[in-house]
Amino acid sequence: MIKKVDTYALTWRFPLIIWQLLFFVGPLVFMISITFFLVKNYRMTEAFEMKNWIKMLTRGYFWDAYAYTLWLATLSTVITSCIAFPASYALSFKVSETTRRWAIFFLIIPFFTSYLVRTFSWYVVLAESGVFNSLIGEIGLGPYKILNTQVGTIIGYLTFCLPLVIILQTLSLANVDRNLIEAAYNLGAGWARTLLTVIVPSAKVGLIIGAVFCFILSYGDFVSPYYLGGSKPPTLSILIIDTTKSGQQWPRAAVVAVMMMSTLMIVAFAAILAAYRKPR
Amino acid sequence: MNEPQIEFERITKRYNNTIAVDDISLSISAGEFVAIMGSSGCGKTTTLRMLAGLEVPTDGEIRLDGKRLNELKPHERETPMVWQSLALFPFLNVQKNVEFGLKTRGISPDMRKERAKKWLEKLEIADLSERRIDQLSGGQRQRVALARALVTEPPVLLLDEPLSALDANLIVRMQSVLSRLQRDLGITFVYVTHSQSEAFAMADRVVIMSKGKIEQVGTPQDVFRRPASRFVAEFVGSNNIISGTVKSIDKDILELETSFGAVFSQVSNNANYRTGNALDVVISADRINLSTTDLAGNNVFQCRIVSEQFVGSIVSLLLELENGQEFRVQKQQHELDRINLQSGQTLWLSWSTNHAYILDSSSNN
Repeated sequence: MIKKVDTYALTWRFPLIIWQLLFFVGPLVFMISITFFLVKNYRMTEAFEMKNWIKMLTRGYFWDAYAYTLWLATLSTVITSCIAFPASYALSFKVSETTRRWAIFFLIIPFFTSYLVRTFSWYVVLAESGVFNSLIGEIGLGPYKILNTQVGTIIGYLTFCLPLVIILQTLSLANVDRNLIEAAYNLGAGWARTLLTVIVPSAKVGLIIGAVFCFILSYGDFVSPYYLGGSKPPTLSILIIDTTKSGQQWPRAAVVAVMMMSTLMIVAFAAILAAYRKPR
Repeated sequence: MNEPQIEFERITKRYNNTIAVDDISLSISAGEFVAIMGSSGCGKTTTLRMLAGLEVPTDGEIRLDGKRLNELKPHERETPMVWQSLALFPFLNVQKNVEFGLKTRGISPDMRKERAKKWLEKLEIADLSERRIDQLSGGQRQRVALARALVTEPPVLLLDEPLSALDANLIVRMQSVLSRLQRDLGITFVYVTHSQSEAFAMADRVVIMSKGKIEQVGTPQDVFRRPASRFVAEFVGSNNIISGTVKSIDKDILELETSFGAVFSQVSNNANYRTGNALDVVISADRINLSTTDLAGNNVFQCRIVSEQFVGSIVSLLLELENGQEFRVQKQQHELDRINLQSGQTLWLSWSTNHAYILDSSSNN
């Protein structure tokens, strides 16, 4: 039998394919090829050399930034997921459907304004003479240095990721089959056991997807570590900026970018695999 | 009867302004198979869920073995339930599903395995223990749900329409599995269903509910032959309900004046009926005889066939008297072969005076 080409389906898929080719595959191929280019007299020239790879991957500062970025993103994922879960749990099980809908609406509102604007507004709150320090100064504490520290960076990540993670967690928790929860109680499980052995596994996909988004957003973010974290030590995204600024080293920056992409690919792929894994 | 095992004493459940269960009292003995039956929204599931602790009664007391249950949380009770959706844990395999109730009770892994195995074997699904839930058929899932509920060897098993998702022939098979299981184990089954055939096939006693109240409690035969109210008579189906007024009472024969003539019914001597009382009489569809010739006597009426429905070995007929009064009749196929009926044919229907059951007039409203 000759397989007939479904022109209708193809027509609708066409924009997506074009989009993917133009804005994902194309740039990716371009970026990978740049990593083999050379910079001569501050000008990029085409070549096929491993120099940039060797230069970057043998440098301690690259691996320091790599480890630090991984650490920050992991920390942000854990903290965000843990702060989000009680809120999502409450929105899913303890409030009416109307309240849940309003809550989700309000969680979307932060995305109305630029993340950069929201980050800068933290200056007012977190500066050494800012709102936070003057408030706790009233009870004789502080002042604490929060800006330009790791805590500042994490606060920035939370600003960015928390609403999204709560939305994703709530959507999956709210869809957990209530009968399963009742069945767990009915079979003698208390609240904590039901939460850990029935509710969490049932909402696993949404919880993991939420965490993955948080990881990806934190891992690639430039704004928080730069403006709230003081860019010291640098994360990989700051390293990219620094590398391009110093002597037009686009090829070396591309090496960093390709490393970032591969790491995210592996993490995202592993997480999706774990999310949809069938029970043994 | 011995001491009741489960007691509902004047139980009421109110949600905001609606009453789900309205002041019901019910006693169930150990080892009984009780079916609570009614249409949707009648409060039967709420009643069951209150026994499991999944709903808290607004008023009244629920006792198990004389002990007040009201304040106990669901996980503090020994009242496992089988859900309509079965509520098996999709992220656990069969073995782990069955072991769940043992794990929550802190039973050691070896012991869990042993007891799960015993129940999987008892329900003939031992070879499926490593399967995922989505790899099982409907009937197999049913057995897993039963094994999971029974593995803790509870005194009571609650079932909430567990068969409603199965197809017809599987329902009949699972009914016999459930009946046999209940007899073998000797524990109490409280079974909620909207299906009369399920309730009648399995239960020792049937509880019929409507609008949050109990309409009748009795054996399936009682409910079928001697409905306590017009509601029950209509709900049980295949009944003919005739309304009329008492014309005369001669010893134990009561004559009722109806729209299509005089109907005679046997009454017990101590019954207290007066001339002029309005009454309803119930005649089961299977108690009506058909004939092609006019038989002299009481309760004989000429009719014609309106429609005929063939359901396996049983035939359901809809007959109409001259004045339009309809009668439902059920006959075995082979009985009808004898009278050789043709459509549009004139027939005579009749019933004996002792097969007409008079409804208690006090419950007619």
